[in-house]
Amino acid sequence: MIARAMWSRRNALRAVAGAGAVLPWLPPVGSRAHGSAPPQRLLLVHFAHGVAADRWRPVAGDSWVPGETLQPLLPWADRVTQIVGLANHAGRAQIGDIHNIAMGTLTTSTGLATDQGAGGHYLAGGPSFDRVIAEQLAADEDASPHTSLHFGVRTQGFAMSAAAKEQPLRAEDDPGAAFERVFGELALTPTERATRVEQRAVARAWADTRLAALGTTLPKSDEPQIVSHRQALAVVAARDAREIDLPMGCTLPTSPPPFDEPRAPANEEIPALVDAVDELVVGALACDLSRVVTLQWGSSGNDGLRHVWQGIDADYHSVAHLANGADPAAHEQHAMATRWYVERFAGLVERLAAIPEGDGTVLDHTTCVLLSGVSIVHDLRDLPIVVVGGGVPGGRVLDAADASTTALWRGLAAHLGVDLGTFGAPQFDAAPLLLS
Amino acid sequence: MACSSELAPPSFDDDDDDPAEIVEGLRAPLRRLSAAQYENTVRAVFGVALPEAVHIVDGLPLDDSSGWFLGNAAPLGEAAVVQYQVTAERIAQAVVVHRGALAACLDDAAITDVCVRAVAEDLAARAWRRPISVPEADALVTAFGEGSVEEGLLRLVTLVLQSPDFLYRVERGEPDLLGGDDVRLTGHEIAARLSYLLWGGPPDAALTADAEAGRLHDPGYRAKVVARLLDDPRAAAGLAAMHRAWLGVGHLSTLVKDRNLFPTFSDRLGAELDDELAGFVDHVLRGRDGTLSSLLTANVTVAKTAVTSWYGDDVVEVVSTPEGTLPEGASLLVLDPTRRAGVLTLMSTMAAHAKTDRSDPVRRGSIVRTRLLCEPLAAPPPDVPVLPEQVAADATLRERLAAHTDDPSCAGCHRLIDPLGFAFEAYDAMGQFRVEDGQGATIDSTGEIVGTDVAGPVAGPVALAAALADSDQVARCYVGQWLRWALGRELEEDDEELLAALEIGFVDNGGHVPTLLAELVASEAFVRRSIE
Repeated sequence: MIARAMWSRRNALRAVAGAGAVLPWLPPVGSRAHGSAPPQRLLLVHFAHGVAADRWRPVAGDSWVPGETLQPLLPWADRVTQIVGLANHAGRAQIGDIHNIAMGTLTTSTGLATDQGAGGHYLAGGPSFDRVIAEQLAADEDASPHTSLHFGVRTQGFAMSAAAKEQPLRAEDDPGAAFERVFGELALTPTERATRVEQRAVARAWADTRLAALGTTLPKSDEPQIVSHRQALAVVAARDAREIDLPMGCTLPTSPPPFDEPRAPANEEIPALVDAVDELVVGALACDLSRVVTLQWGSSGNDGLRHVWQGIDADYHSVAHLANGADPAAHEQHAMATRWYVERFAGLVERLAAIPEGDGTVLDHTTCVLLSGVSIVHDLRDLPIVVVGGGVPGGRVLDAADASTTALWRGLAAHLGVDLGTFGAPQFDAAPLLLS
Repeated sequence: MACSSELAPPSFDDDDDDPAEIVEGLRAPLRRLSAAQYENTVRAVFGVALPEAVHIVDGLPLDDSSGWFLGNAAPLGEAAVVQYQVTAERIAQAVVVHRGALAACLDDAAITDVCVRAVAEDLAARAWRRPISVPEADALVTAFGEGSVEEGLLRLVTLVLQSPDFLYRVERGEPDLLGGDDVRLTGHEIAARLSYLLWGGPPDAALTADAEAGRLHDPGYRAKVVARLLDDPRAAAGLAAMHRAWLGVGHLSTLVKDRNLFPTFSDRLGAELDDELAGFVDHVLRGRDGTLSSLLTANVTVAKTAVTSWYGDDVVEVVSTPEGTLPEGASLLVLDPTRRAGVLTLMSTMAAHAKTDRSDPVRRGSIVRTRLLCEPLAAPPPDVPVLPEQVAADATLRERLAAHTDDPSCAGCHRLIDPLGFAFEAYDAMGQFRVEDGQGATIDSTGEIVGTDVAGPVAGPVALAAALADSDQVARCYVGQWLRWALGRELEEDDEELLAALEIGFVDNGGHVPTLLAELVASEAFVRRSIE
């Protein structure tokens, strides 16, 4: 059993500088007790454009035997649950741009509030399940510094998550900016950090006082804005006041390499960007900087991305339209492209499994979900989904029998000890899938 | 460039139609600044102390909408509060580095109390768009603290930019003799309503002086102020913002097209298309006669190099214009009048309302039906099948659409939509004029306007534009869109009296948009707020 020793943010600077893991000569000053139970986390990884169905489906049988595309997960077979037969019924009930609908309704299980046409121009109709879970987990006294983190590669505005109706949480596609936001402050000295905290507290106190004063003079109809703003300030203030204690086993990533146009990269740059963002995802989970992390690969739209690094010159989106039909070459290319993403996902799983945490590893405490918002030819039924780690029993296939996506979100929430409450469009609500 | 001398003063034949006579205040939700308004405001406040290289909009919460228009009246969540905090810190860090440009005394070796107070008062007054009280100034000086100027300025700027006085368009108003369920806005609140409506940014020094002198309570003076504000280059941004929202083209700067079909399409082109829309609106409303008719029929555009090349032989003349009258890098183009007529036929509008790989007559027709004719359409029934790619191997899009909409449950709406959209079939997915579709079939761009005051067949997009320009229904609809934009919400029963008066005035004044705006601003309702 490996004890969960704590590491203060004071050590973070040395970690950023490349010191790596344990610095035993620095006294642990973390606020969490030794041996406290590791937290439960969620990693949601999305890839665009669905799958070549016959290569994705598991081999029929009692236990899980992966189809060709999922072979990279074979080393984790006893921890993999493949879910079949889950459908995005909320998306299917809506008319509009299918790419927007597929992405914008996937994790909210309700129709879009606004669909302004192709290219990710939509607003979600409600909060996404990952954010609902994140806000509940963030209410714990031992919560991470960030309620949720949303990383991406070339997502082009296709938001998978939403804080609330019409409040999308878009992925940060620039690894440099993401690094600065998530890890930058960990490099501050205690004095610098104290100054920052104090400056923020002054600004928040002013804002709160002014809101309170305005609340007495503005019409009653303005009250919801005033109240919610004050509540949000209080939540941020409470989190800001906490000490940031980094687990002993975590290694902070180094600053990612610069990219000329990280939000609109050339095709050739995609693998390097995926590498850079993977580092941030692993660092964020291993250092417990957030209990909920999402990662989006690609935009889900008709964006002309080509997997040139795999020798595929046709654009991925068009290939997805032609696969699963009468074009065997496109079908093969689609399977190749999907397998590349599965390999990357397997790489993440492997890295999380190599980081000790508590009496196990970070993977043991992180439920990793790989999924796409469409299945074949942009269909919203039988969505491709696998779940790995987090203590979810593996080696099995779960048939959702055409249940709504809500079934999975409720199942994941229950596994993480969270009750989603009223969630999604009521007509598409469903009993939770039994993951645990 | 603009034409204040051309702006006719509002005139009314009948006092009952005079918007100035309508004294009931309208409901106005508490709105946050939009991302663009936030950026325009901080750039006005900090000037060169905030370098252009500092990105602002990217880090802000996304705007929320009310219908098609900017709303930003939804309650804030924790994520948005953090975004405002991070953005304020980024701005503050840049301003600290360039603080000498904000106030020379901030570069002094020993900063004085006088300097701190002057900076705090000036900064907060401009950011909050109102005078600062003595207790507020005292508190800001205290927040600046006794430490280093860097730390003090960082605290001051982040405090000012996270204050609700900055983030919201606060309109507390002041009691007046009319009493009742209304308040009259203060001069500074009227100034902010004016500047954010017409510039998308904060009041300038002259408007602030008008507010302090009490001149903005005079309806005639407000009408004159409209002329001045429209004469200012900052009006281009305000007019563009309204028309982007009205036409549903706010996504142009991130437009995506199928690069297999359009290999030279680039991310930069989307931004240039957005510039085209803004340049066209500005040219027509401030540089030409300012009428809705010209907006819908002028065969010109304002385009930069890439967009100009996409227009190809549609361009019949590049007009020489005095330096500084057009955005940098843009030219005024006269377009083939048999191919292009007005804002609906711009490449930007047509490209925005198309699929990535083909035209979209349903969407284009819906835009005309809902946004120009103000006729709401029922939501499509659930589980409508997607448009079949293949009805017959050589079927045209028109034929495939017909197969799709033969269903009686669909036909009720599609007979109103599709004939309008078919008139735009002369433009492909990029908005380029064409005579053949991708399969080599000859394009049929005949259409029909069904059920309006200008009902009848139209022989293509130019004829459709001309018919819409003749429509009173379109003119009245356009007035309603401006009122929605100004109020930041959908129209309500209480708005009807003002709306009717503005509609009558607009039609009587030949659809002159600056006059419409002057009448709106001169109305008593514009300077009052319902507090029910």
